[in-house]
Amino acid sequence: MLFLLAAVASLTLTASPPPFGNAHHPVTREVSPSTPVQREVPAGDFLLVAYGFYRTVVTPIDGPRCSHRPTCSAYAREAISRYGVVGFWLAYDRLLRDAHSSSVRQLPVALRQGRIVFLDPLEESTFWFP
Amino acid sequence: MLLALVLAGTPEAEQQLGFARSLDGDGDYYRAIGEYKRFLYLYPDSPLADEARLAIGRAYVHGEQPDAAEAHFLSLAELSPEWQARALLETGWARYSAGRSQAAIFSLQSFLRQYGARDAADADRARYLLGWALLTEDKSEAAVGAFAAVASLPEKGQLTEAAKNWRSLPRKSPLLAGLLSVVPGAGHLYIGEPLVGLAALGWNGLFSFALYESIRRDQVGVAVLLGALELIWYTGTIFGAVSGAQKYNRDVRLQALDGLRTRFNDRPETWPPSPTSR
Repeated sequence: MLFLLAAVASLTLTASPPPFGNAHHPVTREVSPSTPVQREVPAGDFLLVAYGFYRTVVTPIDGPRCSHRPTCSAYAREAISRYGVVGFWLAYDRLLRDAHSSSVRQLPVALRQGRIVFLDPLEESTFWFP
Repeated sequence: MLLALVLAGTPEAEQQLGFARSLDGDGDYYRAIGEYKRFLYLYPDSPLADEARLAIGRAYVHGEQPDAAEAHFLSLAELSPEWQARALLETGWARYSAGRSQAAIFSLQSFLRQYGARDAADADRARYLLGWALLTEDKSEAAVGAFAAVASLPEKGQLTEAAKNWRSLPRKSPLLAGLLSVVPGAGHLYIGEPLVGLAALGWNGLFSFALYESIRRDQVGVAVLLGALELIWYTGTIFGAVSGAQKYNRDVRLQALDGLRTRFNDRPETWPPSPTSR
C-alpha cells in the first residue's frame, strides 16, 4: 500500500504541471508570460559561426571579462541580426562605452554570479530609431 | 442542517472582499486577483462588486501584467455605458503606469473627448494623467495645457511651471554631434564623453595610420581589409555621437521626471491624488 502511494506521489510530481499548477509546480503568476520571441541568425550565417567560435573557443580561454549584460558578443550578434550594417555600428559603440548610458546617467547594475554587471540591452541604444 | 452548515461556512461579503484587499495591500497581487474573482463569483450582485471588478484590473497593473489589465478593462466596458467610460479612463491609467505613455495619451484623449463633461473628478484625473503622459513623451507644451485645464488641484501651479520649464532643460543636438564627428571624437566631446571620444580618436587614428602605411607599401589586400574596417569604425563613431546625443536628451528628461515624481503622485487611482497612493 505504501509502495503504491509512493509510486502515485512520484508520478504526480514528475508529470508536467496542469495549467492551474500542482504541489511540485505551484502557480506563482496569474497569467503565464508569453513565449519569448526568438531572433536567431539564420543557420550557416558566417556571423553565427564567428559568434559560436568566440563563445566556445575564445571565451573559455579568455574568461568572462565582459562587464555588460548582454555580453558584448551576444549584443553584437543580436544587433547585426536585427539591424544589419547599423548593428556593426551599435556593436562598435558598445565596445567604446563604459558604465554610463550618457554623461548624466549610469547604467543600472545587477549582481550576476557574484559579479556586478551593467545592464545595457539593445533597446537602450535603439529607442530613438524610427 | 446541511444547509445551515454550508451557510455557516460561507464568508460574509465584506470579509471576503476585506481579505482580497488585504492581499492586494501586501503586494500579493495574484492571490488578490483570485480572491476578488472569488468574491465576484459568490456575490455578483453585491454593491461592492464594482469595486472588486476595478481592483482586479488595478492588481494586474501592480503585478506588472498590463496586457491582462487592458483585456480586463476591455471586458468591463461591455457591462454598461458607465463602465465604458470608467474602463477607458482606467485603461489610460494602466497604460501610463506600465510606461506606455503614447498609448495612454490616446486613451485619455478619447476619454476626455467622449466623457469629459460627464464627471468633473474623472475628467480632472484624466487631464492630470494626460499631462504626465505628455511630459513623459517630451510634449511639454501640450502638457502645460493639460495641467492648466485641471480644475481642482492645489499643485497645479507647480506642475504647470515645471512643464513650462521643460524646454529649458539641457539638450544636445544629434545633428551637430554627428557633424562634429567628422573629426573622430569631437562629437563625443560635445556630448560630454571626452574619454569615449579619446578612445574613438585613438582607434580611428591607429587604423588610418595602418591603412596609410599599407597603401604606401602597395599592400593592396591589407589596404582593402583595413579600409573596410576603418570605414566601420569611422561611420560607427559618427553613429555613436548621434546615439549619445539622443541618450543624453532622454536621460536629462528622465532625471527631471524622476525629480517631479518624488514630489507628486503621478499615477493617482483616486481624485484628488493622494501622496500615499501607490
